[in-house]
Amino acid sequence: MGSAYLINLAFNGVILGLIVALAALSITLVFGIARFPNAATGDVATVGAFAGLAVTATGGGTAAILGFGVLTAAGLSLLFYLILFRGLADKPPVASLIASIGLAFFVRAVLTFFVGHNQQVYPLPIVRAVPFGPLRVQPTDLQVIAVAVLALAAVFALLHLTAIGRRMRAVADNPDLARASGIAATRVLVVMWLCAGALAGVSGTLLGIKTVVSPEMGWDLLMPAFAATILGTIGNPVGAVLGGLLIGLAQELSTPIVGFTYKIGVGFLVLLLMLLVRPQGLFAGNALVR
Amino acid sequence: MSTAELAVTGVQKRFGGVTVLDGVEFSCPADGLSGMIGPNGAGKSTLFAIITGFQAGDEGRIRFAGRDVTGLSAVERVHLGLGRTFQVPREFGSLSVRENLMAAAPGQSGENLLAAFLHPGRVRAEEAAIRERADAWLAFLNLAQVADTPAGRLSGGQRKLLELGRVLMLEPKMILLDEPFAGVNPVLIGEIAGRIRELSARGIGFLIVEHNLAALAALVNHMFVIDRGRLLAEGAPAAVLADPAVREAYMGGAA
Repeated sequence: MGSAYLINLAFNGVILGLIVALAALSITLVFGIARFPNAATGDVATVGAFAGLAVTATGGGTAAILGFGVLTAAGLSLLFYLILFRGLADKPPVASLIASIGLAFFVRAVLTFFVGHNQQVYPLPIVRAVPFGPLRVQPTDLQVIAVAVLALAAVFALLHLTAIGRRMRAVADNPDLARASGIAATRVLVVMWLCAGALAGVSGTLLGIKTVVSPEMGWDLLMPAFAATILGTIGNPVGAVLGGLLIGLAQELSTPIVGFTYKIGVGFLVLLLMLLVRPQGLFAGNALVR
Repeated sequence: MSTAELAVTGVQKRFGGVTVLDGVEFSCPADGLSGMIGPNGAGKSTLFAIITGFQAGDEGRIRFAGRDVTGLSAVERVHLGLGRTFQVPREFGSLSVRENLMAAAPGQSGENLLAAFLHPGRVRAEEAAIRERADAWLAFLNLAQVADTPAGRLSGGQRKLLELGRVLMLEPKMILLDEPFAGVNPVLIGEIAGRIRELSARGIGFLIVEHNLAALAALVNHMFVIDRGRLLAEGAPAAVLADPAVREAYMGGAA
């Protein structure tokens, strides 16, 4: 008890924080480049998680869950851009926001129709937790951390080390100037939506591995992810990741005080205080993508 | 007339009930050094936006380098070699100065994720070539020492030079400059004008909108005067500036 309990909570907070960070980075990429808060992010994550569940029926393990979940989410994200958000690009951002909320409800309704409301788990082998001093570590926890960190690193490498990443940052920074620089927005948007969908897919499948798979999981993930996005200054990728970690830690570490049921509210308390004190977020002024 | 020119015919633009451009017609050589003047509200900025595809005209055609570009997007016109800068200098503030130039380089296979995976060697060689080209232009524009600085931290004058550098990465045939001397100190005006002359000698054409008439007249070979959405006069700078109709437009004609 005591410090050991807190250390275990903090460890859990980091894991959940990374999962929230993945979704938050997805939201912040879409906001930075397509310029609206995408409320369908969580439900794309859910579809990714269920796609992962589908491959377990054919005997797939963790790698298959992740691979298929991420590909499905990325494809779905691109599809939504092509059939919905591309047509709304010239309208005010609120049109895309409302459309994304409708899309979120639609995806969840369709999913629920086919799979029902029940919570399900990936049939992965149960492995004994390994103690590291006071910390009890599940081997799957280490996998989750490794995959999340790799996925986040891959996105930052894409943004900062590749030509398309440079162009994504350019479009996020100043769309008109990007046009005058001969940068075709469509190509940038296709890559961005694939990227945002893949991030949501990683987030959803990892959440499924860590907890359970249910049609509501993505919507429940969306709220802390939005909080993390705003906390880290909306449009700022580094801020989204740090915001996710903060929200994850705050939620887990508050469990002894507020109990399991209300820990989800702590993220919003943090967000509320943030909006009152520093509405531009923690990392305004050195945004990588504005 | 040669085909290597920018030709504007019968361009009209109305915003609500206000006619901003009322049948503008002119043509200038795509490798020449031309200026465009006119009182505030004459429609120069709108004309620039229509020529470069940032706005659509209500009527009229734009031809560039032997092609009718009227229906093309801004990005397509850029790729045909028609570059532009903005009146208030713009930059990708969060990107480094070098990245600002590199982002504008055309034909990057590193843009194609599949190519990046399939031919990493070729993509890397291209990146190196683009970087080299960016550094060459930065040296030309005297910006080499700020190559790694975020563009948002540059001074006003450096921003004007950066805009020129970004456009030069596009390998333009012709550049439309929107008030390159506005808010720039006289020393830097001399430097910017010097760079423009040198680029012109290398065969790049310019059409320059500018309110600093003395600096513009000293730079260009040919001048167009726009007033109330029409071409009022054109010719050698000295002759145009001496034209009574032009003086009238500037002194008394501004509606």
